Amino acid sequence: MKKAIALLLMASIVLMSSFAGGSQEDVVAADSSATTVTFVFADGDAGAKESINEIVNRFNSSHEGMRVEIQPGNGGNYTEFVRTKDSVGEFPDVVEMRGEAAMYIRAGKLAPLPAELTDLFLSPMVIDGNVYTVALAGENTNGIIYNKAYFDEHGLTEPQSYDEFIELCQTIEDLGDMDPLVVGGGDLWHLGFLFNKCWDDQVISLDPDFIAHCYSGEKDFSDPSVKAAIEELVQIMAYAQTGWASTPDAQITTFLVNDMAAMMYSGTHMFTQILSADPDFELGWFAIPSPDGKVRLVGGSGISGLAVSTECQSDPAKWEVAIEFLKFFYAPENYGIYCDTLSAIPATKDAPVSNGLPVLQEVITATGEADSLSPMWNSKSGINELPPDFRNFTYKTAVEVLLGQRTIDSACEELNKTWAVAASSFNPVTGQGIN
Amino acid sequence: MSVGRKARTIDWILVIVAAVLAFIFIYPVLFALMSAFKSNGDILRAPAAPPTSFYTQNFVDLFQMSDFGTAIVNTIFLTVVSECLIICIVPMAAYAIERRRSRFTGFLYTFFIAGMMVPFHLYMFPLFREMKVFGIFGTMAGPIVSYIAGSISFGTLLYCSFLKGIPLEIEEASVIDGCTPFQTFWKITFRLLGPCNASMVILNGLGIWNDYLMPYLVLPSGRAKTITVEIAGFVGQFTARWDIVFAGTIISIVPALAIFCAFQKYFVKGITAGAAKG
Amino acid sequence: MLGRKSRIDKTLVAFISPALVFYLLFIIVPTVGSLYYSFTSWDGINPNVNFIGLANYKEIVTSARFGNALKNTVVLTVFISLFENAIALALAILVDRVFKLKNLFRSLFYIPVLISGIVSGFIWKVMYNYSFGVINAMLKSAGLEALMQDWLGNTHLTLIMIGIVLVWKGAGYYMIIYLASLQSISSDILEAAEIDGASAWHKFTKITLPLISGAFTINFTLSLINGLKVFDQINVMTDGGPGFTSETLVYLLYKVGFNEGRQGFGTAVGVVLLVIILVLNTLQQKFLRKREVQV
Repeated sequence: MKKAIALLLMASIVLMSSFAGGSQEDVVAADSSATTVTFVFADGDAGAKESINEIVNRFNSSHEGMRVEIQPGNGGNYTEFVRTKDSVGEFPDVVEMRGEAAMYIRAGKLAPLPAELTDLFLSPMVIDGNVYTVALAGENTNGIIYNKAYFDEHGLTEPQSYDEFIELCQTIEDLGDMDPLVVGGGDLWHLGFLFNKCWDDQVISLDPDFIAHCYSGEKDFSDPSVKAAIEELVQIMAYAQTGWASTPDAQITTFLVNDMAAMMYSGTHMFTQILSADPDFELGWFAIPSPDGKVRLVGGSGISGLAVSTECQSDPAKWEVAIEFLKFFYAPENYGIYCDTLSAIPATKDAPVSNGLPVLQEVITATGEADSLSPMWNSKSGINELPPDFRNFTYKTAVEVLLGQRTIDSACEELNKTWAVAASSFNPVTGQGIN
Repeated sequence: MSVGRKARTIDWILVIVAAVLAFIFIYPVLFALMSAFKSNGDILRAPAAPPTSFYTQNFVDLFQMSDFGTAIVNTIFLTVVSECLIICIVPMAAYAIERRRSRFTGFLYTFFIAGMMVPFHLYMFPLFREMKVFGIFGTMAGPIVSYIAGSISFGTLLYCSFLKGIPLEIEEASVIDGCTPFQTFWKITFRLLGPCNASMVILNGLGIWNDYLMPYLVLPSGRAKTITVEIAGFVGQFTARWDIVFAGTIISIVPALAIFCAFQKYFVKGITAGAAKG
Repeated sequence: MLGRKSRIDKTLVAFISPALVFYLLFIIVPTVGSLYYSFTSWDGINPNVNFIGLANYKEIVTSARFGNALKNTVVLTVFISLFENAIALALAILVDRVFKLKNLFRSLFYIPVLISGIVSGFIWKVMYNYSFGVINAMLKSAGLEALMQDWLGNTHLTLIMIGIVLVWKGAGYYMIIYLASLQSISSDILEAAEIDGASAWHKFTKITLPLISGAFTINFTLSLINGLKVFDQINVMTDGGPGFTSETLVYLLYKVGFNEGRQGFGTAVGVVLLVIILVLNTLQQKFLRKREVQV
């Protein structure tokens, strides 16, 4: 009897392990002589996935003895995906890092990149004298993308000041054909685009180190500038379409190309998406000036980008492949594929020639002329790095204000409370929580 | 209703009420079915309208843009292997608990049932790390062992109450005939567990068939995982291909529905004797 | 009846050990293993884990976000438990009584159960959509534009809308259990009551309901546990939003722990949730068992 149970268990283990073996087999079989590095990136966008696949294929076919193996994140929950890989000790060799990059750097999981690679970039983010990530593209410059045909038809022009922008929204609303602004508030990070604009306008314009001053205790979120930022957000969001709170980012293109909304506030990656939904759509772009008349844009390099793990670094052969691959990736003839597909602003000095979307050129010009160009508030590092869970909390609290669940004053109070807890375990100014 | 009686008006009213309710219940599925044959644009533009033509591009895209065939095979493999092992392991334990009553088995019963209450997200990462230690992370065996462990709670509940309804006399007779307890169980009792096994496979198998987070995070990346994971892959951060999602949805429901319909009678019998009595 | 005493234990061990081994290894060990992290400020990534004692639990007591998640969990669970059972029982009685197409109706009501949680969330998310959703489109074509809503974006409705999806998806399951229980009531009892002149309502409350109390117990237990653990639909439909409107305890544990880099706090939330489930379930068992009639 015991034998039978033992047999049963044995059989199941054999069955399982045959599959366990099976999955590892073909990895080895692919090219046993080549040094293989694993590469994980967030493939939430079909275009990004295709273009990166293409560059990897080019690399693998042109580099004998070297191999990059893609392990796609399958869209969805990329953060959890990387976390899982890390927790079971399968942290990839080359990995796309997003907002959580700083945590991985502190945990010692990312290796400082060599100058031969980082020298290729315009303004790589330096943390404690090292560069750990190289941006996939310049920080996504947000601006108003609008329906040019509709603007022309009604004689609407690009606003030259913040007040003119609000007037413009009101005019479109009064015309009544479509909503002035489409917002994908169902995705917090999308709402973050607008929040960041208001934050830059009202808070950063007065104190670029506001977050650092919160850590040191000199300032808090009851500051008038924070209230002003939320007020500005409320003012702009009054022109968003009904249903913004449940509209996902993935849907806002549909509003624009179907004449349901005249404008959206998003990044350059939208250009290709809009044109693929409607090739005849006439795109227009402008930056919303700040109330003080200056133009503040998101740009330069943030903390997100491609990184190499310290584990990879400890194996010289793999390290060589990883660095070689990254250099190859950012070579103009390869990097151009990525930038063109995503209408991304190149982050490299030797920038690939753009495929000539005039509107993208307009954005690049605008970033050159802007009064200030900085990463998103949650993409900064050093003393201005946000505590790990603070960004989402802020956005959610802002949504509560926008939906009338909370007053601005109580929102600021909530932010203060959460900040106090967060900063007690993470404070780059005092060094708390940073080993 | 007793046989032979003539249908009265009230009977017809009940049928009509049932039909209306059934339509409401089934509408979201019909919606998915209709949308599976419409383009993404049409789904958004005219959501209530039926498809205008027999548009099958979504199904073509589904198989072209993802390795959906492999995903189907994987899903079948995970479900079948898990269920086979579950049917080998769980009834045996329930049998021992139910037939050999003591303070220890009483404790075991409660201990097993309590597992139902542990939220998966609480122990997810330690579980993954453990899988890694056993060398089964990134293999089919990872989800399978977890599914087996996860089935024990509900399985114990179901089998124990079903076993209460099986008379002891049959087993006692076989013991007198010189069968070992093991033989008694597999040769006599197990054969009477058919309906209960059907309930277990349908209720529990469905959870495995439809699972998302576990296969998404545990199965090896870089290749197709399971049906649900592949479907979810079409709802990305920047783009949502609802048309393909619905095509995949329809494909994922069909086998589940077929199995349910085929074993319906058996399944209900198992529930009647098992879960219904708690 | 399994034999002599000394052999019994061996038999018991042999029968139980496979299940016990799987259960211990893949549920109990990782659960206990995670407990430790609830006493740390671990971010989930850093190899250095700082022990901070009960600080996470203290934070839970004062955290408004936790309080909100607890409230949402209670609302959602009560809604689901009540409606799932009420609708399931009504459907079961209906299917039991129809004189035609019994199997067809049973299957139709069961179909939503077959759909995965994630996918059911997708389907309803598309249907609920304000601008492109079928519900608003139907209201519009029926001339009921005043009733059009941003179903998932209206903070007063969001939780209920999620609840409706769960009730829709779960009712068929509980219906089968009620139905099975109803069909196991011998017709003799009901006929005898009829002869005694009992009214239909009387028969239902005095005979049927007590006789299906076993099904009540199991259904309420299962729907309570499932309600407390809802995850997939929230993940797909609202991501806990708008704001914190649909953030439940499971969702908070997941979001804070895995997504916002506070694994220690998230785990503590999970532990509290586990304790809540255990306590509620024990209370419920005591209450329902008392009312049960042994069949």
